[in-house]
Amino acid sequence: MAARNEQYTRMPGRARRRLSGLGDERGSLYLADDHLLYLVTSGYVERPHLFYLRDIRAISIQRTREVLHANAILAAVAALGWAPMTLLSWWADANAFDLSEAVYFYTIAASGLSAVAALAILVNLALGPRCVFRIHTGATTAAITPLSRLRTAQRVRDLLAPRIRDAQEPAAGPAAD
Amino acid sequence: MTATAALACPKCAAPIPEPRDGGAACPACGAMAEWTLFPALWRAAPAPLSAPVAAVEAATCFHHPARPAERICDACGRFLCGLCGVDYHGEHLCPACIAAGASARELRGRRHVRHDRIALHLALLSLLMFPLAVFVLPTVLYLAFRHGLKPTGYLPRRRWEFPAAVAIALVPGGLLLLAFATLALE
Repeated sequence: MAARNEQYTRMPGRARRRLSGLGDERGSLYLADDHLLYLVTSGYVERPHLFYLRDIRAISIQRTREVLHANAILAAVAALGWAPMTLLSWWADANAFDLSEAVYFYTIAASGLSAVAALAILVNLALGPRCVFRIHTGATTAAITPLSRLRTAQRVRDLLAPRIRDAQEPAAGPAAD
Repeated sequence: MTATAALACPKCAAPIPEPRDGGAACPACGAMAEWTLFPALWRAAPAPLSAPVAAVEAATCFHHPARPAERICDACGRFLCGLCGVDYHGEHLCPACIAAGASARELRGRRHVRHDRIALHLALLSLLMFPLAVFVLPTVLYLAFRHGLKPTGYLPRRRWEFPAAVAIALVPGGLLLLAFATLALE
């Protein structure tokens, strides 16, 4: 395969792994002078997808509720770890009951689990909602998986939109020939 | 600009009759999406041709939106009408792909296998599983000689993986060879 002599600028957005058959896939988006390169890596194989700026008809960003669902599950995990132990400690204190060492160990483990879940919720909230970023051309509509956070997707869209409009400027005007 | 737009809802694939910039709900499923539209969406269709006109909602030729699609380009996958498709060395290609010199085989060839990374991971594995070095060292050397000077894929990359892989694989491999040599001499 011949390498192209292009200057590629990597677009923001973390490559997101997702299960695809037996393996995983990672995607990265790069911008060149006249096209976008979406490189999907599956195991040791890279597959390039090119979107010429002049062919891009639209970009759509669709917000999803993944963060809400993930946070609900994490909150349930945090509560399951924290609530029984808190109640047990409160009951033991109230009844002057001496909790055994094993229970203390379990309390520490459950608290750790709750802390990890709470931290994951905070990270999820800080990163913001998730979305699906799609590029629409005449032939295809492709979801760009690395741009799965709304804030990043909007930033990339704002970065790309003027470049795409510049590339399509002659096409929009009256035909010269 | 006249709206000859052909956009579909990303969720339910229903056509969006009058796409506009900004947030809009799909008329069919109500899914919200932020749209950014570009002039290519409204590019004027080519002058109508005398051949049959596509039925509404039928797949149409990418280059001639008024004509029904008959084939798919084997290289780029675009819908083509009878005028556009050209049989070329057993493949059905569109004029754009022929002009670009892109045959289906060449497009498939754009898949790039990261041999450098395979070599590096094998070399690291041989550090963890010492006896494997017997097989890993020749494999890494073969990969390095076979693919070391080939292009690094679509992106220009620094070529550090193969030298690193060979250097790493030489440590356990060299030790094993030394051990064998010592045993043989004794």
